[in-house]
Amino acid sequence: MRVPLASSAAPSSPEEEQLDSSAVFKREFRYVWNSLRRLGVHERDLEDVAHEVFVRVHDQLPLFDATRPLKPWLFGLALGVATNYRRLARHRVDLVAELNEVSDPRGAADEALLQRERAALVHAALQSVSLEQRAVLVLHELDGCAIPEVATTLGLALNTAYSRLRLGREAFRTAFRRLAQKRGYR
Amino acid sequence: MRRELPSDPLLLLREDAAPSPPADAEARVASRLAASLAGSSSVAGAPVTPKSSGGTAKVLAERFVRWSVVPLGVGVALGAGGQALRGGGELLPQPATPVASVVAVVASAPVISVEVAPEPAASSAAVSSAPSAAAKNTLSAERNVLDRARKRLAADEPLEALTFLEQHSQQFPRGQLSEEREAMRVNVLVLLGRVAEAKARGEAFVARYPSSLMGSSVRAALRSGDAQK
Repeated sequence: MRVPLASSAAPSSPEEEQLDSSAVFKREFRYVWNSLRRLGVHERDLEDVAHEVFVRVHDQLPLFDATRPLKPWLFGLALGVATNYRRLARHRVDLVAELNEVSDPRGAADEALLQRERAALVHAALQSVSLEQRAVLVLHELDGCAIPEVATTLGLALNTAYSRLRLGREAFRTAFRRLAQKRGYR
Repeated sequence: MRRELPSDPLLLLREDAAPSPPADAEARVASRLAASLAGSSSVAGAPVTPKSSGGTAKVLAERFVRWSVVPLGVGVALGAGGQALRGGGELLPQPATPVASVVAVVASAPVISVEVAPEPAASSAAVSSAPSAAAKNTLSAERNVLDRARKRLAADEPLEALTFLEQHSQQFPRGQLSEEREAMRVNVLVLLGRVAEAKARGEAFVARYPSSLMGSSVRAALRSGDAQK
């Protein structure tokens, strides 16, 4: 099975434009990994769940519409697997506990530590956004997908996609401010 | 200590840098994929090609080549490490029911004994210089049965999945994918509510495959279950 990577990567040589599932794995492992992380898969389970995603990539690549960008398609597969994963209550992340593991704000003196804590705050706030809103938020704000592409990827009506983006943004802002306040930010 | 943040948190979200996966995570997943897809018709699509440069890529290539021959049953004696890796690729039939979590659920159930057919030790694997076509065909047949079980499990049809697992047990009581079968069986039994049997199977799995890639997570789940008692 060979499909062009479409717009998921910078233009490359002709021989690199045709990729099979092996090439997709090599090029997009990190993207899938981080997408799963943002979709709420716990660090300890990321390898298992990423493995499952790429099994699906292998199985479904022949069905991929090569005229579409690859990353949103991969995100859709990752979302499906992550949704199943999250159905189990025991997989829900304890946000407060995870955030506390990152750093102690009173001791956060150096810039690197502050950056790590900010990243942890962003991640924790993102985890508090509902999965359906978060999928739109991540695809649009982090992956740079235009909303029409987001809607196509997730099988949503355009208005629904815009609505989820708006609600997701607001949910993220609210969660972030609440978490940041607890951590001593203003 | 109070610190400043941007007025709009979305600015921080947009700047969020995706962290790199842990070292060797890509190689581990690649090797599991190789094992998972070994029996499929398009195994060539598995992530086999190493990166063009870099130490990690070299390790990935070496591991893949070494590990991928194990599920193909070519008779290369790899020892316990290879045996563990062989089963690691399919120990997660579907993400909703990873083995570790399942074992955690059933850990509080009473222990019952489960008779398990003896399996040849990894270190006793036969050594031969060339792959056996028969071994490949057998592995492919095993894989087909387990694939059916996995698909039924993914479709929330655990009873049908168990049927295929039982079929595998009967056809391949000492099959190359027995480790994978037993891990999946734990999942299925829990989904069917047969938690005591699932717990016993889970413990038998840990005992039989102490160096399995999934063993650490299974044992961790068992410890977690014990702590809740």
